[in-house]
Amino acid sequence: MNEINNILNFESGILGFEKYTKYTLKSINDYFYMLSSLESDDIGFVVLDPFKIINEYQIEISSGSKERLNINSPEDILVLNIVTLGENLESSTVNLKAPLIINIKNMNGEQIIIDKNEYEIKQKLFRGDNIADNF
Amino acid sequence: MLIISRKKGESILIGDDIEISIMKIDDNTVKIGINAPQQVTILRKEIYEKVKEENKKALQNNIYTVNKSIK
Repeated sequence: MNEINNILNFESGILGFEKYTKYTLKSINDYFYMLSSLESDDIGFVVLDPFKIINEYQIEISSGSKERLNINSPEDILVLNIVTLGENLESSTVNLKAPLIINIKNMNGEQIIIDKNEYEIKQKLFRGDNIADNF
Repeated sequence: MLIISRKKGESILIGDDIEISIMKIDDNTVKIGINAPQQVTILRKEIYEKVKEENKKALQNNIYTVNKSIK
C-alpha cells in the first residue's frame, strides 16, 4: 500500500469515536500506519495492513457495507486493523475482529465486526523474532 | 423501551422487513431467529461494546510514544 494523501471519510465514525469522521493516513514504517483525526489532535490510531503479516486473513464484506461505501470491486478495498500498543511490540495487540474497510476509489470507510470466533479483538502482535512470522 | 412478552413460536415485526421469532426457550437462554434485509447489521451487543472499549484503549496520538513502542 502506498501512502494515501487523500482524506478518509468514516461517515459513521470508528466505534466509540462517532463524532470524528475525517482522517489522514501516514506511513510510520514498513508495517505500521498512523490514522489521525483531522478534527481533533487527541484522536489517532496506529493501524496495520493485515495482508502484509497474516497468511490467511479472511473477511466477508456485507452487502450493507458494500452499499454504504459504494464498493464495486474487491480491488478497491483497503483493509486496516487497529493496533493497541503496549510498552513494546511484545505487549502490543491487533484487533483482527473489527477491521477498518476503506473504498480507495472514494475514500469512504467504516469499521466492521467479523462474527467469527477465530479472530480476536486482542491478537498478540509479536511472538517470534520477526513480526511477519507471528501469524 | 417497549416491552412485549412472547411465547415460543411467536414473532415480532419491526418495520416492513424485520422479523424476530422466538425459536426455543431454555432456563436462561432464548434462541431467536431474525429475518432482516442483508444491509442491516446484526451484532451481539457485548461484542460491539468490546470493540468500542478496545478502540478506546488503542487511542494513540503521540508519534513519539508510538515510535518508542514499535522499535
